[in-house]
Amino acid sequence: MEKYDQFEQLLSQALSSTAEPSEALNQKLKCRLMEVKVMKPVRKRITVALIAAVVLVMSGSVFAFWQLLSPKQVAENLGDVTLAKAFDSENAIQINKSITSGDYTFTLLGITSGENLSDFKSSAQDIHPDRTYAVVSIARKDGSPMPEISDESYGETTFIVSPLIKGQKPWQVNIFTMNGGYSEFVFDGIMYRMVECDSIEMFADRGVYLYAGTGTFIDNQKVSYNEKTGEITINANSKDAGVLFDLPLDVKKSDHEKAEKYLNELLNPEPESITSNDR
Amino acid sequence: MDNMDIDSLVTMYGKAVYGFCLKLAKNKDNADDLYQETFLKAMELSTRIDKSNNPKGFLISIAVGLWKNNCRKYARRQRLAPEGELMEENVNRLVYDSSTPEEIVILRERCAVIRNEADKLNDKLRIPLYMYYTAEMSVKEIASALRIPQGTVKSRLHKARKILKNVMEVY
Repeated sequence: MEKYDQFEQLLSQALSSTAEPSEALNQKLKCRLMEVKVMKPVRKRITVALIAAVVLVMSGSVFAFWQLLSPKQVAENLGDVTLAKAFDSENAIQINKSITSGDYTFTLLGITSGENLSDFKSSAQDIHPDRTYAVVSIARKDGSPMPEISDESYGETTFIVSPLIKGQKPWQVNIFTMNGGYSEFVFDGIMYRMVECDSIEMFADRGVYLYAGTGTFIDNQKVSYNEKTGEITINANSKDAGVLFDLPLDVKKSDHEKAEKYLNELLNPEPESITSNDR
Repeated sequence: MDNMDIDSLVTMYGKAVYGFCLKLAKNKDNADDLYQETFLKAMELSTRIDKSNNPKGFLISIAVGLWKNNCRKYARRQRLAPEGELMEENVNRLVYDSSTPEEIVILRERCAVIRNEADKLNDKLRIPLYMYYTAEMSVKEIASALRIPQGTVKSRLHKARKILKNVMEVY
């Protein structure tokens, strides 16, 4: 018992904190709180008026998009100011297309591509500076909220969102192999996922899909690949929820030669050379 | 709850929330961000704050949610500009609690090992551990903030302690 008490005391000493927020930080926080307080009622009035107007004129299915955050808002929520601006620019494509599969409705909200579009850089950008960013929302079909990130049930159902290229096997060319990653959060019961990977614009002339579904990786249980035509389709027998969006990319931005080179590097990686230091 | 009340929450619980954010985020910049975002979110959710019913737990649960939501952002920033924040904050207290210089050195080392190992735990164990020891919340408060049963909190704390104890025994 004494040993237990000693260990408890040690844990308390090691993990307790005497750190305090600086006066400047608290001052900055109080200013920001004041700003939010000033802005809040105005924003609320505008939102209420907008929703009321939209309810009157829009059909039910279109109305759903007004309940979702825009790609710009999603980027802002993730703390990426530069990306939020990129989603607000002419280069970004606003899509707002929903498809329901299984228990979930997946909505592709928007996509944008280019260099230096994000505040956050990854090492992959040193090699391929062009990146694509896409925002997908995931909602439960029955309207019940998705688990909050602090909920115990969060993460019990995993999701994957990945671009797929027509003519390329989905299990070979996907978000994992294209130096991809994602960030996500839950807002008002809807999950928003921002995915990023090497730019897919160079494939625009071939046809590019965005797969969204449950699960953790892309395999032939989820999608079927037609070796002759290169078409990718949802596997009708899949137990996972899964949908495919056709991405409306600008064909003018395709670059066949660059795409070939990229695929060649991706599918036939050079074995690491042995240097004198390795021996 | 109006802005004045949020201000008073900053005054009353700012230190506890900040200490927790610092442990979670591991560096000052991320901790400063997380701390501010926590109170800004609390402002948004101010109607849900019941001042008579564990506001500290509510604030800490917001910090946990924001941390989980944005941990990729924080992790990336940590990779880009690692700070290697040294948590030497309890040194003074250790000096008073211990008698000889040797004991102080040993205690410091043991505390550093525990902090280091606690940081390596996965979030399911790490977060309740910091809520308990850093934010000084009770098991009941942690359960309510994380929306999990008290038994689960106890079992996670037990697992975390066991791991740390095993490490200390080897050490």
